[in-house]
Amino acid sequence: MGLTMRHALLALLSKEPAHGYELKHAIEAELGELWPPVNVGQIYKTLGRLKADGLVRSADVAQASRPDKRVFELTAAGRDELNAWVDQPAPAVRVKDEFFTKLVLVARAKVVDPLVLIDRQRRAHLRELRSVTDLAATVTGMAARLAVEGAVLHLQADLKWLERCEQAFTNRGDTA
Amino acid sequence: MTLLRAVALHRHFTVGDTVVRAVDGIDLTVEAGEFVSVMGPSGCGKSTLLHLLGGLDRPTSGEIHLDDERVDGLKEAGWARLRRRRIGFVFQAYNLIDDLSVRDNLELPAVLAGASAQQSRARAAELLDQLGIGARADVAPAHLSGGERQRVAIGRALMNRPDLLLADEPTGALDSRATSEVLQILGRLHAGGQAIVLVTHDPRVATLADRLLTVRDGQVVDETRLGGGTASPVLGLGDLLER
Repeated sequence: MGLTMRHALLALLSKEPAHGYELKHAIEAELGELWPPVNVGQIYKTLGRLKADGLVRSADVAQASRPDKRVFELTAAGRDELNAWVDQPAPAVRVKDEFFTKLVLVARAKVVDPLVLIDRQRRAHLRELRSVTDLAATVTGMAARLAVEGAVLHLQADLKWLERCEQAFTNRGDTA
Repeated sequence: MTLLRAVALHRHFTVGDTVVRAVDGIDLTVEAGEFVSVMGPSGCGKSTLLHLLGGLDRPTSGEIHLDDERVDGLKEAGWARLRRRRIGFVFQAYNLIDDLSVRDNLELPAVLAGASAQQSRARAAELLDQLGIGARADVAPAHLSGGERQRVAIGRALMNRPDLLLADEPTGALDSRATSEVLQILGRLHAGGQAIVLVTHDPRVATLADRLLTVRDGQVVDETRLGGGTASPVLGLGDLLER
């Protein structure tokens, strides 16, 4: 399971109760350099589901000259859910399934030369690597830097693997 | 404007009874101010290609044109003159002179090209500053880190304001941090209009260029244009948050 919005909100609320806009700003502060602006509507929708599941509760707080603000906090069940998620290691990324499937099936069916497929995929990875390195020059936060570094390492590994694919399909000569 | 044009370049070596086609029919054009990288595994012929382009080795057949001048038939002295004035070289192993200070390493090519001591000193000072090694000017290269040495080597290559900078695995001996520094410098030079041909096996280095050639077994097997696209803020990090 990836980092879903559900778990992101539970994690943020475990620190202190907050309302929707505060959660939006907190997510942007941590991940904003890597992520387009978060839709506050989506945050409220997710909070609604969490509430229905009994993982958060809300209270309306009166404000002097503005409408009441709805503050959310974690319930005991919410904390259990968060802990269970935290305790579970994330699965490792394996191969790019979609490309691999294409490569193997297309090679079998002789729809296209697998080397053409590999070249195209390499170009896409190389462009992606360039975009990520360009991005690396602009990010400043530690979390963003680590994420970019992770993306670079993944792309490097994918490129190396494409090289292996190329060797394997080249040596095979007839690619059927 | 085309700065460099190589046509049907071949470089074959004979080892015992077998002919090794290190460069086996490569066409390459570099525009003025363009940054081209050549990537491939070790032994693919990319370094041999670079050596041919800089006259450190001679092609078995093929043509090399620098601007409108055909240069593949030049004698050693002709190539030496080109390398002094128009082509700068950076190597993985820096190749600095250990008995000279950083400043003197920089000044040497200018002096050899006939610049006055004053001109040489001024240009060296400019580059020392630009490359962030001003504080190390009077030290011998042996006292520098790998990254600093490579910066000196880049400075030396740029002393005579070459039209073309050739770089052979310039980050091959550097750690990740020094690699980033050298990449930043190359990026800045290119932004300032410097034409660069860089050879590397490292995709992170290669993708700094405008155009990337993939070489296998002495031939260009693929070409990728890079940059110029708009960078989306997520960039492959989209699965960080599943919405």
